[in-house]
Amino acid sequence: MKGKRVFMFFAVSLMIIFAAGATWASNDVIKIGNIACLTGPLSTYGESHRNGVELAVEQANMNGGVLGKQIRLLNEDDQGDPVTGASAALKLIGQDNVLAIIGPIPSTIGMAVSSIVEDAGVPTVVTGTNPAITPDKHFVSRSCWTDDFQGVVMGRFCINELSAKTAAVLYDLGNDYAKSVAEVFIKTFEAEGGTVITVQTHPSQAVDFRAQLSIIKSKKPDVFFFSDFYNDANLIARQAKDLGIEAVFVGSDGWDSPELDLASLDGAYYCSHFSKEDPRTETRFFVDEYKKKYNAEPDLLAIMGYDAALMVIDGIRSAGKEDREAVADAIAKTNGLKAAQGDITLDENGDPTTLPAAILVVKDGKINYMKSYQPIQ
Amino acid sequence: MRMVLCHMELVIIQLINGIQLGAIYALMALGYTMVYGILKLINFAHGDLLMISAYVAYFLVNLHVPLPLAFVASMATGALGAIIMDKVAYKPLRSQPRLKALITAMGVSLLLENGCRALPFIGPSFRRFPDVINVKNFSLTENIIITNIQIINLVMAISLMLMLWFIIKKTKLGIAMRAVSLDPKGAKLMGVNVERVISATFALGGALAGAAGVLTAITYPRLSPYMGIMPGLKAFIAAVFGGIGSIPGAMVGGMLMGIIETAATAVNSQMAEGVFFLLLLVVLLIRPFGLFGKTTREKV
Repeated sequence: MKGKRVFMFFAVSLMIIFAAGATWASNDVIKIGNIACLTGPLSTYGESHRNGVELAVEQANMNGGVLGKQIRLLNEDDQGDPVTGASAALKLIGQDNVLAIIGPIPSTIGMAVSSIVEDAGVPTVVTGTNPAITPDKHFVSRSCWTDDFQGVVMGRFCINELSAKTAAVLYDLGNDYAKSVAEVFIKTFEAEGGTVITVQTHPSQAVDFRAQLSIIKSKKPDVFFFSDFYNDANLIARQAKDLGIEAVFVGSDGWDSPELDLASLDGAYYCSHFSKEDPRTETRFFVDEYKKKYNAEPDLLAIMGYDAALMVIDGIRSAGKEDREAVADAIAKTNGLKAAQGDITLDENGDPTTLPAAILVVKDGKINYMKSYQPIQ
Repeated sequence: MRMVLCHMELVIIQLINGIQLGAIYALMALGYTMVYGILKLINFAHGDLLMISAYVAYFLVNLHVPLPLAFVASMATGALGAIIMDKVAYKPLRSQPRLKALITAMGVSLLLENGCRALPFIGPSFRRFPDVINVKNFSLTENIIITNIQIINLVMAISLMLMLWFIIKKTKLGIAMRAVSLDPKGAKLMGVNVERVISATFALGGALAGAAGVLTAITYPRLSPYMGIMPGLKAFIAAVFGGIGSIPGAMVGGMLMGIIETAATAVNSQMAEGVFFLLLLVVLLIRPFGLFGKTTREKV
């Protein structure tokens, strides 16, 4: 009997402490959740993304925070897995009671998380590029352009700048991002007068691509487009090089990572969201501050995360109150926000329509800026 | 005529790709089949020995240990890992129903994967195996190109399999292994130390998994704690396909798995995995005991 009473005492004390902690926290700070793949196959994405978001939050807090309060960022790791991402979202919403969520990054996880936050009514800014994430979701928006734009840009680039007549395509069948880029690329390339001679796929987690690459080699395409994430792209590029495929390698923004195999991808082109040499004031400011804080070059995941945080902070400021509905309404009305990638204006789906794409080229172990494409109106 | 030649060339290229893939499956399948032959246990943690050995090679190579030495060390790690696995997890369950050991094997597999994931020096992120071998291309014809890594894969796999063949056919240990696999109680009565034979079997299987781990690492230079799952699963299927318990069955089954997988991908990459497993189902429907397996009646 006595043991039970002692237990009850501790249980009640703990409850009081937690309740007090929760009230203290919710009154004093504004909590924003951040879901990123900090570990797992796409860990460089997660790290850069978190760095970008933390930089934006730190800058906001130094300037007095938002609504007179400091922002507290709660980082969750989705491990590059949609199921873990979904439970991270549920935790941030139910347990931490965050006002808004930033992330997740890969589209496959974005798909899973976006329905959860929509049902729960939590404003969320994702950085995945699959066009299907945002439509018909009032609470979900995005801080970057979509694959509909990226696929068109790369298709036109291959035809106009590389004078390609034929293309071969390889993508991961289980990756919503790789698939959507590849499909838009194929449509654009054919519409612009080129021929896609072979479309190959591979299952997720595959390591051997020689069967598909041997077919591609036998077709002798001018360009070889593969829209996988950097880890798969590294293996594909290396095996393609070993097999002696002579086509120009072309890829998408999923390649952007400090771990990209620059030796195997020498001479390859890919699409990015910004150029470090951009003279725009906001871009320069971001690049300089990022270098100062982290002593590293920012990549596109960093800038997308930074801008997503800017969108959320700006949304809370315009809403003027800590109300999820009001913040979502304010983010949806984002117009001409001076962000690092460019001035962000959202369309009715919650996608930015104003951001340019940059083409980068891998040359002699370096990634160089080549040219920019303005948004298609 | 030129079209036909092109097609012939493509078939040969894909055959080379398939054999290279199959060599690793065969090495792995042998471990499954040998343990099954002796203990009637499917060691589901076998694939994780590949992962652990690949990491051992990774750390050694980063410490500038020459690759051949790292190769031997990885094989030793695989062998040692397999023995420890048996002693810690399977031996206490020897007299228990087989299902318990099977479920324990799945537990060991999860433990190793998630344990390595949690270890700070391994961690959940992918690691890149350094390029220790300079890739050289050998052109057989204008289009058929083999790399030295493919040759290393094949030569190592075949010579290891020949060594295993020799051990099983020509040495005392091999005779004891065959005796235990035929009738453990009878072998024990004849003075065979069954526990030692079991340890030796795990060690041989583990060493082959270790070799497969290094070959995987140099061919597909991307390490993660989960890298053993897919090759392990496919090798297990290859062992069943060849006839589980049969050593030539595992060798041929592994090679055929690689070739069929490549062929299915070459014909239609979207349907490949489906077609490939459907084919296995059909084979097992016609020959439930696998290609080389023997039909045995349960004695009552």
